[in-house]
Amino acid sequence: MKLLEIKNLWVSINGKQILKGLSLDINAGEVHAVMGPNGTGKSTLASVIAGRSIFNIDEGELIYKGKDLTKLSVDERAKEGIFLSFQYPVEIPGVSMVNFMRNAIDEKRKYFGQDPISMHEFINLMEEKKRLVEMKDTLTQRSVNEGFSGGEKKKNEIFQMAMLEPQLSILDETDSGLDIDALRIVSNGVNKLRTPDNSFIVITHYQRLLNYIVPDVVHVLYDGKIIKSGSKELAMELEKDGYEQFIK
Amino acid sequence: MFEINKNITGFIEDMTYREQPYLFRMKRMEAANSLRQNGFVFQNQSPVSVKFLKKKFALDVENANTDIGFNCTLENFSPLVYCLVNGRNIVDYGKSDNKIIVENIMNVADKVNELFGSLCDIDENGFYALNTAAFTGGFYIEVPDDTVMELPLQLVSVFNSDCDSMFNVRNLIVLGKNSQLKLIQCDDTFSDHDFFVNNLTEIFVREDAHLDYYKLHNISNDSAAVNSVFIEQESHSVVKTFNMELNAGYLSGNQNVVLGGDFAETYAYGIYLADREQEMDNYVNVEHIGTDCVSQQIFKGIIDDSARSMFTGKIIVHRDSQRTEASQVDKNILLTSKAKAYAKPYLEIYADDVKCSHGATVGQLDEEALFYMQQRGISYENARKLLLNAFVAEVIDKINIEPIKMRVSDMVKKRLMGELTVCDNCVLRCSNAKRQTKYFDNI
Ligand SMILES: Nc1ncnc2c1ncn2[C@@H]1O[C@H](COP(=O)(O)OP(=O)(O)O)[C@@H](O)[C@H]1O
Ligand SMILES: [Mg+2]
Repeated sequence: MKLLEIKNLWVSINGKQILKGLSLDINAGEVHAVMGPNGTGKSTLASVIAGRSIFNIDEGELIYKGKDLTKLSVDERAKEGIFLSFQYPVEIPGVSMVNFMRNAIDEKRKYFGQDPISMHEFINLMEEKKRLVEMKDTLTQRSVNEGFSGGEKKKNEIFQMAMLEPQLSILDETDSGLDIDALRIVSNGVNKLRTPDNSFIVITHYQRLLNYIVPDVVHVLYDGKIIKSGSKELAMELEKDGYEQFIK
Repeated sequence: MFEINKNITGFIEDMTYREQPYLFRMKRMEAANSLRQNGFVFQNQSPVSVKFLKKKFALDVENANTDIGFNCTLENFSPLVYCLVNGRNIVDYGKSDNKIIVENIMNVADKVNELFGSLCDIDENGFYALNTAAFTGGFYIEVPDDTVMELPLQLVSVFNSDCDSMFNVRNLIVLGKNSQLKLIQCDDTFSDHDFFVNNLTEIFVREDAHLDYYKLHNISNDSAAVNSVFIEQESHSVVKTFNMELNAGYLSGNQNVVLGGDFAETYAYGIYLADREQEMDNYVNVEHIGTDCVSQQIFKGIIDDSARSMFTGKIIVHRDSQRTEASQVDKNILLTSKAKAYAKPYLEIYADDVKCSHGATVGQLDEEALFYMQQRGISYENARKLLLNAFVAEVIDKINIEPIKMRVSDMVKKRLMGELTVCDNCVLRCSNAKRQTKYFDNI
């Protein structure tokens, strides 16, 4: 079953064309790796799927679970199961992790006509997911990402992903700047969420991550388009010989 | 030269002729002279402030009804309550406490002889002169040496008039050596009419005394309040002030603190939430005279619609005030492109050994944070609310009377959602006298 279909997507910001006819199909249960040099539009693709309105969709279609994704607001998309692990997670001073997560979970439950989560249930859920990403207890008592180290921020993204149980998760360079230990923890968190229903888009520069999260398909994104797709071996080729071999 | 209404000048004239203690008559005459010579000195003239000052208010409002049955419904909160009706008569609510002295200032001229007017310079500001010339009453509070007040003291100014009215309320508070007091001051109205209240409070904090001073401002859109507070602190005293400006057509807070003794600490916190055409201005002036003193100013403002705010924060450190620590922060969020916030820091540092910092920001809500929250499934409205609450939380978290902290935080939430216009349960009954008619219910 197709979870996400992107057809001939053209995206610009302030008159600058970033995505130039990108197409991508993702089936339920698949992991897709997206690789490519800096500035080619990987984060833009992630933002557009998440619904960031600063980007203009000039042309093309985004279909999620058979429905037009562009009709949904950012939070509706999230409630429908789209999760973005940010390349640069945002610090929100004064909003506690607990308050933040509770709001997110309760809004989603409300959206599906369910009652708010009980305190007891919520605490148990937090504890379980914290263990999953080996997150320090104190981090959830702080404001969202405030004063977190780079690695802690990335772990926190995976923690939130685990809490919200999305169907389509987009990891935007979640591996950048992580040491081997953190990489293992993050990958482990992702692998625990891999089910026949859940799909992932893993944006990365390094083949390294793909040793832990083994992709079904690897895409090369260059100048706003996917110029090459292949199996996981493609990532090896890229690592060895660079992107240039595919660019003409 | 800014001219005030003829009815105000007429009233001032009238006040000097009334029968009264010599001290007050002299002070009134001095102030009236100052107004005649200097005009109404009024630094921060803006269309809103001028509009209120030009409005015609009655000044000689006698008590319509002193039996106003004030009853604060804050849970787990039973302070000593005194009401001042129309700036004239004090009504106490039984729970009087013989440890402290609460009197109408009109009756204690002999006690305040040395202190009255000693902290404020009437030539500096028209409102100071006006208050001194035209005050009709106010609280005199004295906490004797070594007296620790367990219960907070709540002073409520109640206005109950059948026409638009101006009130000049004059308070004087003395905290004796090593005494402690938590003071809550609010204005309340039981009438549909607009009012302008010009409060002036002089506070003397003796050695080792501790004062927490809360001021809650939640009056109607057609009413205005000027609150001028002068605080003199002796050595090792600690004062915290909380200025909660939730609603008003025009609000102007003047706070002048003189750290006269050594090792004194003063903390001035404030929140201002202005919307529609409102204007909220704050002037804070902290003067370090003693050595080893600490001062901190934290003000946060959220400005909506075409409202306006102005924060002026002064820190003056005299030459011999070594080892001073002084800081000042004013942060503003503008919710629309028409909203305006001005922040003006003034620092005058003459000592060498000083840690001093200041910062002012005026900005919008963080778009990145909004997107981040929405991406987690939080609606735009809710995300916005969470951010605004987080913004003021830094100040609210400092409130150290739990029921007030909860209520203020609740009021701020409601205010930010635009729901305070149906104020069901606010600390003051007042803000919607025009819309609500159940004034005499429990608040
Ligand atoms: N908010 C923005 N405003 C203007 N240009 C942008 C913005 N975001 C991205 N871009 C531009 O779009 C291009 C693609 O950026 P991005 O999607 O972040 O690339 P990648 O993630 O592949 O490194 C870059 O040239 C970048 O400068
Ligand atoms: Mg990127």
